[in-house]
This record gives sequence, structure tokens and C-alpha cells, in this order.
Amino acid sequence: MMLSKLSIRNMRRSLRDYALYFGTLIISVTIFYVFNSLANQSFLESILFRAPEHFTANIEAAMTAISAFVSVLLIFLIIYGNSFLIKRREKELGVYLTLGMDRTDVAKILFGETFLIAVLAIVVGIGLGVPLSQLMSVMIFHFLGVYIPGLTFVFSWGVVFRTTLYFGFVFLSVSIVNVATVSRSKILHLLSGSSKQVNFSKFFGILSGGAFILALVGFGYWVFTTLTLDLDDLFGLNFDVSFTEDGLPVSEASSSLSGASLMLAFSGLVVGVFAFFLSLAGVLAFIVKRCKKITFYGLNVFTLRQLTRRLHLNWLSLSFITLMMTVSIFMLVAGRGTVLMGANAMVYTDRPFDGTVSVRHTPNFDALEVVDEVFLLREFELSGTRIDSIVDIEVQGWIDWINGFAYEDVSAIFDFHNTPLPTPASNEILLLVSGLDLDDTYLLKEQITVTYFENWVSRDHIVEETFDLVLVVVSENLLVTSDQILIFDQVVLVFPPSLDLSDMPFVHSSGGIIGRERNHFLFDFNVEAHVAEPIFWEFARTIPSGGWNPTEYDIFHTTNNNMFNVTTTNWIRVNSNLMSIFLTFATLYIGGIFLLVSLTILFLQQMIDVVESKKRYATLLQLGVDDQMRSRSLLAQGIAYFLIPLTLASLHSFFALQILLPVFAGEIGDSPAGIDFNHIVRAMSITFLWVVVVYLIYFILSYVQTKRVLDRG
Amino acid sequence: MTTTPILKVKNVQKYYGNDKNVTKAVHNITFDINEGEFVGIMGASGSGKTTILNCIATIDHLTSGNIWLRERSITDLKERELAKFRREKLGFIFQDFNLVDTLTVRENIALALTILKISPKVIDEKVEKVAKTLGIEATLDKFPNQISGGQKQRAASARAIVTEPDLILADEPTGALDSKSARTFMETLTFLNQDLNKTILMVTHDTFSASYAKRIMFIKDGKMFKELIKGQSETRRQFFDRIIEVVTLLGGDQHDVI
Repeated sequence: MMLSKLSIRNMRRSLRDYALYFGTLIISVTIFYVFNSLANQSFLESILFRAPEHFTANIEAAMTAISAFVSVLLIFLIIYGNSFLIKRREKELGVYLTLGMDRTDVAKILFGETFLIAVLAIVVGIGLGVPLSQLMSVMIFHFLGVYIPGLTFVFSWGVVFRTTLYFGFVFLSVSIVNVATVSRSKILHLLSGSSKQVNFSKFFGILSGGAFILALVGFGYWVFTTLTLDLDDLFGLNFDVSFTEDGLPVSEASSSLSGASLMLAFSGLVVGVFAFFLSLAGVLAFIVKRCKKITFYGLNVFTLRQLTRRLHLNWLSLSFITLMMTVSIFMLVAGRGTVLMGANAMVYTDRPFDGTVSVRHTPNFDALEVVDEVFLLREFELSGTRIDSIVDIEVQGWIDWINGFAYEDVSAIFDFHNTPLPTPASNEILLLVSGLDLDDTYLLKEQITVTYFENWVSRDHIVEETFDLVLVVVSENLLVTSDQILIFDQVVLVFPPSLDLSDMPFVHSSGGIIGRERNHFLFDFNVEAHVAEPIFWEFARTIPSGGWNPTEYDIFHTTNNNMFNVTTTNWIRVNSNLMSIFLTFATLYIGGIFLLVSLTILFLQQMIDVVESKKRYATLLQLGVDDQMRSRSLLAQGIAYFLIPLTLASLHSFFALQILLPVFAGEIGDSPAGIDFNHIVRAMSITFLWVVVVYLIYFILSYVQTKRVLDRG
Repeated sequence: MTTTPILKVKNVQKYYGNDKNVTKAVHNITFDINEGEFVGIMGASGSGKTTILNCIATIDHLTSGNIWLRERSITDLKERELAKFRREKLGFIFQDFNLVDTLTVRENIALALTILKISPKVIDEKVEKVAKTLGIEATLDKFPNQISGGQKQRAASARAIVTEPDLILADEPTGALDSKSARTFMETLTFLNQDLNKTILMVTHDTFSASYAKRIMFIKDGKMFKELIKGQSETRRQFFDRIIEVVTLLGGDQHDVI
């Protein structure tokens, strides 16, 4: 009973002083919960529903790996934070032991405290996580500009259980470390406490000098490499033209060529960071000694010495923090950038329609009725064009499959967009080409020969007719307007009205024979995605009988040789953005946690420094230093201590972005040509500003808390 | 003596605790200190002697009464003014030295001047001079943990006098020193008093240290108990014996005070 009383009282006191630390613990639980609920819920399911299978497995594995990694990181943070909490109370624990309290009892007190912290963090964290996960979904998809049906965040016991399990494990590990610490420590040591002393010996001076030079060399190499790196050399990738026919960038081929130099540059960065912090205290001590004009004014000398001491004691953790922050800033900023790139690169798939229903059916099948039934029953009215009797044509001697359409069908689409389409003469066929393919070999042809049966029923009298090709360049948007057939080919033949194809019955075309393939309806519509998507999902699932097979770009459904395709712009966006969506999650998750952990460690170090320096500040007070001067010194130390890692990390992530962003641009977008870099740079700057804002919040809070502890002393 | 007192303490009272449970730490104490005096305050632990010192040092507040330093009342100063008062008018020497361990001895001494915002060049000169006076030039660029207790206390003294304060307050300055260092240090204080004409108020329960003062005030249970003044021709040894007598009278038990 007594022990739990001690635990609770201690907790209350610690909570007040280390509110920021506990806040971070709670936020960590919240973030953990949110991302696990994302990974767990119908959201991913519905995305992955149509995604390639290997992608599904990869994402799930990656999510688990990231969560495990994050929890290990958090274990370290909490052990670190807890060691501060114990250190602060070493004397108290020593007194308990001196009074004859059993070590197991002391261990019990500590265990009780950790347990209380754990319960508090988990309960509050999950409590915040539930509403936040709702907000997250809205935010993320707002950023991406997509809508995903079935993406609702419902409270899930599974995720609660998982979060509790992970964090239970985290806190248990911390408890074990705590108990081990206490049971090993000596009473005398606990009673006297230990405050590390910094002596700047000659050896230290030489070490600092050497490390400083090493830091300069490391940074120099890193910056030089990032600024002068020729990306074409590095990846054998020219971003303007080098795309394979599938639209994938040719990046694998020679990427290993100068990968070594990139690795070397990164080593320069890492070595530079460590060497920099190793040398910083020494360099600062040198300056303090030499520049009396600066140091012998007000509390400058005290401020600088305090800072020097702190930098020296924490050089290793500061190096890690800087690297972590570099990764964090890079991830958050680059993540935002690549997502936009993904969205941007799809500009050419930005169709004037929100979606298209296309039905290819056998002559006896009333497609219209089915479609009407599905949509009209849901008060969902189709607008736009309804096109019947489009034919697919295979043309002899052509290098690729190419689609041919009757003039009236295509002109209907063009009319819908108020764009004139020239009428071909009886001996002409229009060749519609979008701007993208202008340099293609199609254009070298001047004539085209089409083969077809004159009498389709008896299958006799093969007609071979030659037409002149008339090139018509159309805007991309127009060509990809309607059915996905048009999207992919981007080269389309339009037959003259004189060539009457309307009576041709259905047959599957093959071997250079022209034929009317199927009755073909196209319905284009403009309806907001959040209205349309659920209906399509319903449609796809409920059409009677027949298997259905989701592909990358549409819902594809077959029943008795009748094929339904539903394509929405939103879905094309979601699917092309799978990688981006995942990146958004991963970068927010890792980048966010890294940032919070780094900032919390900075706060804890700031706090422990003030606690250890209480006597020094008391001396200042006796010497006649007033409250304002003291606060200013504390503020200056805090600013310097927080600013150094931030500045370094910002610069490094900037240089890292220099080299890595174009690579991402190649990986994510189908065509970097369509990327609006100004927009992306602006968005990334805003993301960076957000990082700075979070940083600022932590800085201000930690200043307020440390000042309070100081004032109380 | 015709000089006006540098420090006037009048009817000072200091109570701790709340309405129900009041501890009278200092009860109606009145005394003056003249310029150039070396005054000791003696008393057993808990007698209230350190409380008086803290009140004069303005790091503790009076319950009632008044304190004047050079005719100026310090009891109604505001917090900012108090800090200014401390850094300009007072010098402190403490039992545990209170040197800032992250600063070198030079920087510790300089600190008292830098917070007065004196030009760095002047500071440097003054630090060198005071270090020479107290014989600690060799330790100037060392950190406190690299020098002996005696050196630390001399460094603290250097810091206390470098601002040329009106009054030096010493709280058990030999408490953490071995007997040899204590003797050397007390000689240093005497030097400061006699040769540099510094006014010193020292609180101690150590009879040996007290014997270096010119006047001793004995405090018992927060009240003035007795006052001893060293005679013009009296040796330190004789003064020491007289102090012992009072101390015996004071506590009835000599162990308390030695």
C-alpha cells in the first residue's frame, strides 16, 4: 500500500516536470494506433483489392517491419527518458535503501511507476488515436486528391489489442532495464549522485581539432558530390525520353555504375556529422578562451561554457539525433514531393469525365437496361454521350494493334467537347494522334490497306481497299476521354462515313480481317467520386453470375460474353498512386516518429542539464544575476542546442533531396515531363515549415518547463 | 568612532511557518557595522546566524525590521533592484565556495564583473590584479575541480572582492577547509580587511576562525546574546580564549560550537 502511494506521488511530480516527455509517449501510442488501424482496415484492403498480388504482400510486410522498427526506437527513447527520471531521484532511492528498504521494494516502486506511465500512455494514446485516425484519412486523401470507397475508420479491438501488446512489451523492457539498474547500483553512488565533469585536456584539444577537420572534409565531400553529381552518369537515366514501352523508366540498367560514389557521399555525411559533434565542444571551448570580447560580457561566458559542457557530454546522441532528423525531414518533405509528383505525372490521364461505363455485349443482350437498372435505381443519372456500334478494327501490316472507329461514333465524342473533327473523304482514313506520340513511326505511313469481307454472313468476297491517311493531331485529354481503349493506344483510326460497317455482325476479329466486334455502349459521366465509387463497387459486385476481375485501371466484369468495364478517373488515380499512398503513410509514420523522438531527447537533455546545473544557477543568483539575465541565458542555451541539429539536418536533407528527388520523379511518375516542379517545391517548403513549427512548439514547451524547474529551485 | 555605520540592522525579525506553527528564527536583532570593520557572528546551529546573513544578503526576506546599507534601506527593494544591489554592493564567500564548476577560475572571477557589463579589457586587468593579490595567478586557467579547497576559497574571495563591494559576507568560509588551509584563508581575510580596508561580516561557529575578527556578536535562539570587541593590544590568542569562555556560557556545551 505504502509503495503504491510512493509510486503515485512520484508520478504526479514527474508528470508535471516531464510533461513533454509523457506527451510524446502518448503521441507515439496515438501515431502507432493510427497507422496500424490504417494498415489493418478496409482501406488497404480496398486498395489492394485491385493491386497486383506481390504489391499487397510487400506493403503488408513493410507495414509490419516499420511498426516493429518504430517500437524498437521507442524502447530506446523510453529507456533513455526513464534513466533521466531515475537519475533525478537517485538520492531519494538511496535514502530508501539506507533506511533499510529492500531492493525488491525499490524495484517494485519503479515498476509501479512504469506501469502507471504505461497505462496512462496507452489509454490516453488510444483515446486520441480513434478520432485522429478519422481525421488522418480525410487529410491524406485530401492531399492525394483521391477517394477510396470503404475507407472508413471504425474502432477496432484488434488494433487496440495490438497497440497494447506492442507498448506493453516496450514498457516491460523498460521496467526490466530499470530494475536491473537499481539492483546493481551502489547506495553511496545513489546518495551522492554523479555529475560528469568535463576537462578540456590537451589530448581533447588535438582530438577536437582532428575531428573538426574530418567534419569539414566529410561535409565538403558530401556537399560537393550532391551539387556536382551528374544524374545521367549516376543512373544512366535521362528523364526526358528514356521510358520503355510500358511507360516505365529505364533505370535499372546502369544504376550500379556510380552507386559507389553515392555511397561514399553518404558516408561523408555520416562521418561528418559524428566528427562535427565530437569536435564542437572543443572548438567552442577554444573560442571561449580566445574571444574575451564576446565572452566577457553579461552571462555570455557562463552560457557558452554550459553549452560546451552539454555538447561535449551529448555529442554521440546529438549525432544520432541529427541523422534521425535528417532522415525525418527528408522523408516528410520528399514524401510530400513524390506524392505530388505522382499526382502530377498523371495530368495526362486527367480526363474531362469522372468516369466511363463501357459495355460490349452480344446482339441479344440489352446492356442499356442492365446499366440503367444499376444506376437509375440508385438515382444516379448518367450524363454525357451514349455511343453505340463502335467497331474494333485490325489493320493488316500494322506494327501494332490499332483501334478503328466509325466516324459518327468518334465525332459524337468530339461534339460533346465542342471540338471539330474533319470529315474524311471516301478514300481517306483519319489517323488521330495525341501530341505524345508525334515522333512515332506511325506517321511515316501515308497509306493504309484494310481487308474485310464484303458479305459478312456468307464470309465471301474479301475486299482489299487502300485509304489515304490523314493525320489529325488532337489534345491528349480528348483522346483519352472515353473508353480505356483510347487511353492506351493514343493512336486511333477513324473510318469514313461511306464505309458502312453498321450491319456487320459480331465476330472476334483476327488475322487482319475487319469485323464488327460487339455492340458497344459508352457512358461518360460527371459525378463526384464519393457518390460514384460506392455505386460502382456495388455494381461490380452485384452483377449476376460470371467472374469478375479487377485490373489496374478498371472494374472488369464478364457474364455470358457480355463485358462490362467501369473506369473512373479517381480509380486510375488511386491505382497509379498506390506507391505514393504507401509512401505517404510510411514517410509520415517514420518521419513523424523520428522527429518526435529526436525532439523529446533534446528536451530531456535540456531538462537534465537544468537539474544538474541548479547549483550553478543558484550561485548566479547570489552573485546578483537577476531573473531576466538568467532566463535569457537559459533561452540562449536552448536556442543553440535546438538550432544546431535542426540547421545541420535541414541542410543535409536539402542536399539529399537534390540528388534523390529526381530519381523518385523517375520512379513514381509515368512521365516527369508533366511535373510542375514549382508547385512541388512550394508544397515541400510548406511541409518543411510544418516541421519547423513542430520543432518550435517543442522548443518553447521545453523552455517553459525547464524555466519552471529552475524558478522552483 | 565618528564614522557613520556602513550597515545598520534594526529590530530585525524573521519568522518561519504559518499562523499555527511559527518558528522565530531571528528575534529583534539590532546592530551596526562600520566601514573597515571585521565582524563575526557566532552561534550554535539553528541559532539564526545564517538567517541574519541571508537577510542582509537579500536572498531571504525579513518579517519585520529594517536594514540599511550606506543609508539606503534594502528591505523595500524590488526583485530586480535586489539583484542589482547584490552584484554592485555585496561580495559573497561561502562554505562550499560556490564556484561555477563549468567555468575556469579566471572566468569565475570575471563573472562578477561581466554581469556588471564592464569592458572586457578592464575585466581582464582587474582579474589579473586580484589574483596576484591573493596569490592564485597560477590557477587562473584551471577549473575548480582541478585545484585545492584552499585555492578554491581564495578564488571565491577574489570573486567577492573584485567588484570592490561595500560589504563582504562570509558564511562559514572555513567550514570545508582543513586546518592549515583554514589558517591561510583567515590570514587572507585579515589581509583583505587590514590592508585593503574591506568591511567583512562573517558567520561562523568555529572559534578559531572567529578569533581573526575584531568584533564578535553571539546569537542564541535568534536573540543577541553578547558582544565581544577585540582590544587594541589584545593578541589573537587572548581574544580566542575570551571567545571560548562566551561559547561555553552560550551553549553550556562546548561540543556544539567547535
